[in-house]
Amino acid sequence: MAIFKYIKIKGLVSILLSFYFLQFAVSQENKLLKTDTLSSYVSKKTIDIREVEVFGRLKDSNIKSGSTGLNIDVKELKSLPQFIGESDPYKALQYMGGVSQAGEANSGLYVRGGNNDQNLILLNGTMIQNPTHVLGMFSVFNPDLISQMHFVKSGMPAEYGGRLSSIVDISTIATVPEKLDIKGSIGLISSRLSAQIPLSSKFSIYTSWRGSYIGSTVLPALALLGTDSLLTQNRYEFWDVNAGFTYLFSPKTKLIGHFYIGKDDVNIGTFKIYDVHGNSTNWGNTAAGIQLKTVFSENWSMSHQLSFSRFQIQSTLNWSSTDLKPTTIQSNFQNITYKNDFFYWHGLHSFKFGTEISYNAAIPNFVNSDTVSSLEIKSEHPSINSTQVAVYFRDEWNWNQFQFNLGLRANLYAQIGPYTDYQNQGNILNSTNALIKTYSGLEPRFFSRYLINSQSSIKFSATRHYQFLNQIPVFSIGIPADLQIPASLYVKPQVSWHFSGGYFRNLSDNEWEVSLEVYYKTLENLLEFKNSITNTFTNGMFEKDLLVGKGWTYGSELKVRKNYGKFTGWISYNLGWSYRKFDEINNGIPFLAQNDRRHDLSIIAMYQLNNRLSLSSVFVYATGNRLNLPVSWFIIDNKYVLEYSKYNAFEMPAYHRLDISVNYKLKKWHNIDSELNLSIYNVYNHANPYLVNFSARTQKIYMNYLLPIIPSFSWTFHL
Amino acid sequence: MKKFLIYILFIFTVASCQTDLEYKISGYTQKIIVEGYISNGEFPKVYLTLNFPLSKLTDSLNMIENVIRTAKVTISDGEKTEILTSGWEPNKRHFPPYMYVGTELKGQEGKTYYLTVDFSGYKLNSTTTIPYGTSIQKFECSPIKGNDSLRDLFMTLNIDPTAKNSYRVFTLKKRDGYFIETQYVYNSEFTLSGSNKFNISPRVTELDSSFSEGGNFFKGDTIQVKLCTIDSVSTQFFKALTLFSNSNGIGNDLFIGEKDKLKSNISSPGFGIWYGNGVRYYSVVIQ
Repeated sequence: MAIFKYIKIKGLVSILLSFYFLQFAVSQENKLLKTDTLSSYVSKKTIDIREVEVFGRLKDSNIKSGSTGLNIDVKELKSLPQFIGESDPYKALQYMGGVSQAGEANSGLYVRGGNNDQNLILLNGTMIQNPTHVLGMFSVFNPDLISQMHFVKSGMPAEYGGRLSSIVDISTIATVPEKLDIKGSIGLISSRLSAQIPLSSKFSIYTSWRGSYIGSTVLPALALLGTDSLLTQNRYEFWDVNAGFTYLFSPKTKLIGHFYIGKDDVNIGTFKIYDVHGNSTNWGNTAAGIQLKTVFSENWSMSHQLSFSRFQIQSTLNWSSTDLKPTTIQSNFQNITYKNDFFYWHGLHSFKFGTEISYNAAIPNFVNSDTVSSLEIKSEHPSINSTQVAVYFRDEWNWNQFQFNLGLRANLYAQIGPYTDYQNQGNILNSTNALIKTYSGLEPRFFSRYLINSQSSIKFSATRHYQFLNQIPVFSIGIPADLQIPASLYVKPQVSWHFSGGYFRNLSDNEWEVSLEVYYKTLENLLEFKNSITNTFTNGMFEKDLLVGKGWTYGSELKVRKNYGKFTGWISYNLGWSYRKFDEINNGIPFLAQNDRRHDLSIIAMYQLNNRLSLSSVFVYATGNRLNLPVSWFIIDNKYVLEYSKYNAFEMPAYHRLDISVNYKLKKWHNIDSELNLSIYNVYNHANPYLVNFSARTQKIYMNYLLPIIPSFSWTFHL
Repeated sequence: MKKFLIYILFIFTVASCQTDLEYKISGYTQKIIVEGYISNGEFPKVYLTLNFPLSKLTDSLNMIENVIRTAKVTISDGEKTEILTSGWEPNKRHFPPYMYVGTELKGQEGKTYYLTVDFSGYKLNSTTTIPYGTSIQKFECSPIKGNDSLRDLFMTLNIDPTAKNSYRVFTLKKRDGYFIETQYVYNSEFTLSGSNKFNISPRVTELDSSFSEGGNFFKGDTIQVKLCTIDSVSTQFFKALTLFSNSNGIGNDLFIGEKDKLKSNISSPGFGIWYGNGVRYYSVVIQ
């Protein structure tokens, strides 16, 4: 992984160190004074300095960056307009190019026409299954804790695996600060507070809390505005806690630990039509991990990591009938992973190799119900347990104007017992740890970059990917009701080839960046449910309700970016096609994927008026998602039935909105730095669709939209 | 869970705003819609209509125009054949209001029946078998939280898993005067066996006179219960039909069955269902 350190010395001279390119640059007031390559100097100096500020990107990263993806400038994304007082760098990934706008109430990542479950989201190396709060409106990542965000969408190096489309690798603070560091924010629906505490020169801990109070602010306001009491009688809150430590055994050996737990709680009142007499649902992630990083010499280093991740959703339904006991529904996914990585630098080669061993336990659905069978709920659903071993090796080789990244990743995946085979009428029960099904796959990875001159380069990559853990969405909106379905006896792993290439050019001493990329991606063994909802939750044999198909996506991405000066920002435009083909859908004829966004445009502008005042704006435009609409209707058995057109034949109205933001740094007060943020989401109040459908009552196509113009205000502080 | 998810989505719908869109609908092809059934001990009934394009606004006049009244409908049990007679349906709540009904051939459990529809140069065919009916072992009532006078009604069935049949239940309250179907096609996955207890509360709509009772029954009322046993082909159709249509409109608005189409057993260009019913009737006093 590339590591960039930006060190300020007396506020005037800055040294930018890059471990990855073994380069350093000295600059003063944003003017480059000197660059050089001296690996030993870089590594020694970095370790000796306690206080470093991590800076997002190298000046010429556009043309020189390799296959390891983009280091996202988190600080920059945090300055973008907020939504209801919450800044969310993770959601802002949608503006980075190659990532489609997810739409209203959805923080899914749709990278280069791929599905949302094809992204590996890592928090300090630990997998996060569901990265959203508040029905998809926010991510689970506390923005104050994020020190680095790394995004790989093409040319994925061999150290990453397990997903087809992208990697989002988020790291929290891992330094030992000089003094107590407290940050916080007070917003309209939630507040957060975090503290980094140095216990000695070698040991520091951090902790943070974030919690909402929607029931005390938003819902009373909606009630005052006369919103339907069906909505305002409900309760929705979320919270999350992060904690961790960093211990420096020596300047060359570091131990980092982290823990995350977060929950969303929904409480719903009575709803007579559906016999529901109160319901409570909660879901959340738990993640914990420990990393040991050691630098042996100038050439050797290694890291070991043990991590645990769990996502759980539980819903309890109380029925109006006294004869029915409450029904409890649970879905659960757990993962334990041990990973080691070894780095070796030799001449122009940078080698990395390692192994990853994981154990997964998925219970797609467990229903604890009364014996009354009106819902035909089976009380047991099969759990799917599996182990996975991956071994990888890659060599990044700088040769003249070329850089190559050649890698190979070998996977062995095994589904292990116990397992109830509902597909087979014999209901075969395999004993614990019995081998039920194995899959293996080789993933060659190739990346090359050619520096045409100091201002331009071309890049090409070809990579193969296997994905053994699938999440199949039941809804397109933010309810985390996705079913966790790992590869099993009946479910094959998803497989992909990804080809990508592009031309990259910097102008005016790297002040401007321009890039044009093209890509082509194949997707095999994609899964869909036969129906949106139907039997999924009411029978144990969900595997028989799965459809298997394939897909292919292609497109181009144009990006123009201005890096320096008072006015900065970028324009990103994607033109893409995303197709799917399932034998049992649309009579086997290929159709456009639901998330096919033909045109996707993001314009980000930031203007620093003076030392205190800055402005920023975001404009996004995306072609509407694809959907099915009826073409005729009839009545049968006294029921009104709609007949649908070809699959995904219709296009929703385009998604577009403008957000603006003003940040004002307040004068230091009692050693507290603080900032006021005023943001306006959806400035021109455009109705963006999250649901388009046909109304039998009015016989018209209608559109539901959630988020009108929303001004918000927040105060963030740092002491 | 399904109820809960429907509810969550309903909340989202309530929370959101709505606006009409101008959409150009294309891809309409005309189909002959067939709804026909034969029950044990009863004469067959068949209804025929054409489907309505969404591009055209429908009013009561063109709804009647789409009712087929000039077809030749023939039923056969392999030995005897009968051409059904046609006339207006006495049940004013039924659409289409025009039916084709038999007068000679009565349904028998275990027998197979063949349907032929001749209309406008097209010949449609279908076959069904009346399954052996299942009897209800017992009825039970249970009180409702917060209301002493209302009850839920449960039935217990002994299910033979090898038969691959499912069950549709209709209840008739005196105040309504007509049978209302429950929310589910029971055992539609054919996974149940032995003795099973089901809540058979009806799915009422605002149009029903007993709407205020909700999906419950008043203590002391006498209720008629009709249990229909249907075979696996009919099960696929009715299971999907309950999803494709929802009397309160939420199903239609949110859970469109776009992947798993309704499984018709009528030959093209027809669409619909010709099914056999193994029927049992009961009278129950709500305790």
